[in-house]
Amino acid sequence: MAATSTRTFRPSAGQRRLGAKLIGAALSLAFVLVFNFFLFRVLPGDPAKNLTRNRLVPAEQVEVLRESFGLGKPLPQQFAQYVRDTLSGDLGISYKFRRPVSEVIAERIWPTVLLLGLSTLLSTAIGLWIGIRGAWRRNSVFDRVSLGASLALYAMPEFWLGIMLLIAFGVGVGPLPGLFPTGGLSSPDTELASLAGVADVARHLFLPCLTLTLAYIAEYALVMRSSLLDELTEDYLTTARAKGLRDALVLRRHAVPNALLPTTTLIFLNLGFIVSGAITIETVYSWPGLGLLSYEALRTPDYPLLQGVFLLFSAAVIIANLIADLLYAYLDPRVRTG
Amino acid sequence: MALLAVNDLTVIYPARAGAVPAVRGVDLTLEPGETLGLAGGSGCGKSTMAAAVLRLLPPGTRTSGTVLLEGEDVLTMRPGRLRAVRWTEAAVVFQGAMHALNPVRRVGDQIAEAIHLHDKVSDKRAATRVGELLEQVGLPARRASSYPHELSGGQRQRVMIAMALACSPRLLIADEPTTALDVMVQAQVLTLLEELRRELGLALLLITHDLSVLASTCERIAVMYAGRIVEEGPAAKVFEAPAHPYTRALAEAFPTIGDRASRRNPHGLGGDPPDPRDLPSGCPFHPRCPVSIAVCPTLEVELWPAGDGRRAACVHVRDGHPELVRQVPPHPVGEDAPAHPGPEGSGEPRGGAPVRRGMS
Ligand SMILES: Nc1ncnc2c1ncn2[C@@H]1O[C@H](COP(=O)(O)OP(=O)(O)OP(=O)(O)O)[C@@H](O)[C@H]1O
Ligand SMILES: [Mg+2]
Repeated sequence: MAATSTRTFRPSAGQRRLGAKLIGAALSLAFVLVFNFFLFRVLPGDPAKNLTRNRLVPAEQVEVLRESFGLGKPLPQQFAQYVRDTLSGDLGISYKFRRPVSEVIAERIWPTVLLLGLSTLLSTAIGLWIGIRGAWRRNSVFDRVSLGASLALYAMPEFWLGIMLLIAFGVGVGPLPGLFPTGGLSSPDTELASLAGVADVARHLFLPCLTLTLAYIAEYALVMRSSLLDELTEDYLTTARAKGLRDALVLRRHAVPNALLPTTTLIFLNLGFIVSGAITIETVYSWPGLGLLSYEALRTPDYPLLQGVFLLFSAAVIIANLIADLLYAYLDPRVRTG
Repeated sequence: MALLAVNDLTVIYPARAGAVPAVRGVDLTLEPGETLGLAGGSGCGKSTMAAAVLRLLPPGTRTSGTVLLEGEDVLTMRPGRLRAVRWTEAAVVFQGAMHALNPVRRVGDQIAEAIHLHDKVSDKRAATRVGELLEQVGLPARRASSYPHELSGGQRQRVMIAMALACSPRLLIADEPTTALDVMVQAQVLTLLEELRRELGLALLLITHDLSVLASTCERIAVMYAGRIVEEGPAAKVFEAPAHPYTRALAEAFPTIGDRASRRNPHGLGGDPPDPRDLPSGCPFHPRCPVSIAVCPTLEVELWPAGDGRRAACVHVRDGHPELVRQVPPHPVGEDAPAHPGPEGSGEPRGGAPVRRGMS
């Protein structure tokens, strides 16, 4: 009946939009692939030489090494090989680890997922809550304090915040001992699969997670606050109040969902960029995830590994972007049909 | 008992640049089933009156006087009672239906929300009722599943009206229900309101700046200027033989629809609408008045009887010469009119070219 007649029409517009978005994302990924290839070909330094640096290695052995990394062939052939391999999940052999890049990455991805996932969840939940409360009770003590704190946190560089927290809670200040471990994922002698192991990982996770959470709470709180303040001046909220809706419900049913639209997009866009934050924080806390891995790869420099990590990070940004777009379209009917 | 009785209502908005007295001592009554038109230029306090009836004023707003809805004072009601009264005793069709509906929720849900709030009914019953309401305002029931942006301006205004009727109020307040609509649609919406009023026996408080609209739809008209009522009486009389120079200017105006400038200054009067924070002394209309006399800048005006069941706040009415108001042609229109008439130019009656009419 009524609902179906409009619904049969709507998906076609929606599907066209979805198709366009997917194609756009695929093109971006293809571009990243190509860019990645050439970027690492124009970088200075012969990987085979770098690898054998400061060691007495006969020239022919260097040549064998070059061959084994596929560096001897002409560029177009290298490119074709690179695309074929990448698509089949073969990202090459890491210079540093002498193992397939995909294997190294697969090992190191979980600590990052754990760290980023948890800090995103926490910063989103707390940030949105602070933003909503601040906007609703504008100019209250809560609003003033949280606004000031958010602005200060927002202005703080992540690595600086990380180091400060590390000194305060990890190393200890003056007579106070450090409360949390300063680095790593776990203590050397703990069994990870045990209860004590989980507690140990949690203790190690605490500081890096706190740093990232604090760094992003501020942004989410500020965006949510201003987005909700904008929404609160809208006329349809007066309509909602006029109908007899309680203030709390006006906020929950009408103002917050609408104010969440721009905020949701931001959260998902950030999910891609938060990766760069992970590089600094993982390095500060020696958290053995992809961030620390890229730092290590950069120091070698381990081109295949860097290439693999870059590809993964770019893909994360593109996919987060895609999700942000699709989610926005799903949540906002004006975008869905428009 | 009057359905709505507003007594000596004052509304003062808080603002950083100084409090804004938007309504300054207004009396109004509306009997069940009656239609009252409230007219006046932009910023004279019409929407504030509408908001005050359901106490929809922003926090920090100061009010005094009483607003009796079915005998109960809205301004001092406890919050729970106030929420129960809203939409069930009086409902508002807000100015600008474009923004008065939530853009991301289906219009049917928005109407049903009002029903659920005041009636314990099943979702199914509510949906049926939404369909009936939409058909009552001339929309197909399937429009319930549309979003506001999928509707035209006229359809959106009809949705607003359907929503206002959702809880069967006895009083309907329509705040400029036709501005921003094109002329054809304006007429349709007004006809619809008139039909609904007759069918349902509603009392209607119709707010607009267009006096000619009120003359054809309302029994009585009240004209506001600078937060006060300056003239009130039977619609036809007020429109045809105004007893206040401001009413006369309104009556002679044919505001260009959708033109902001003609709204702000609809009647070719010189000068700007007054700033409520800085009102002229005495009769607040005197700097723009074509028939003002020496006493006006110091005279405390009130509503004096003007014959034919009318009252008007003009010194000429007090002195028993309401016809004076209609004799002198109003101030010239347009570019040549001084933006800020000086005090020397406002003490004496002014002559000038006849008012320019129509969509110039
Ligand atoms: N929330 C507010 N805070 C401060 N001043 C306000 C507020 N709302 C309205 N005002 C001022 O109060 C006065 C009356 O406003 P109101 O909206 O009642 O006028 P109106 O007659 O409805 O005008 P219009 O024809 O433009 O709708 C105006 O000067 C306006 O600027
Ligand atoms: Mg208004």
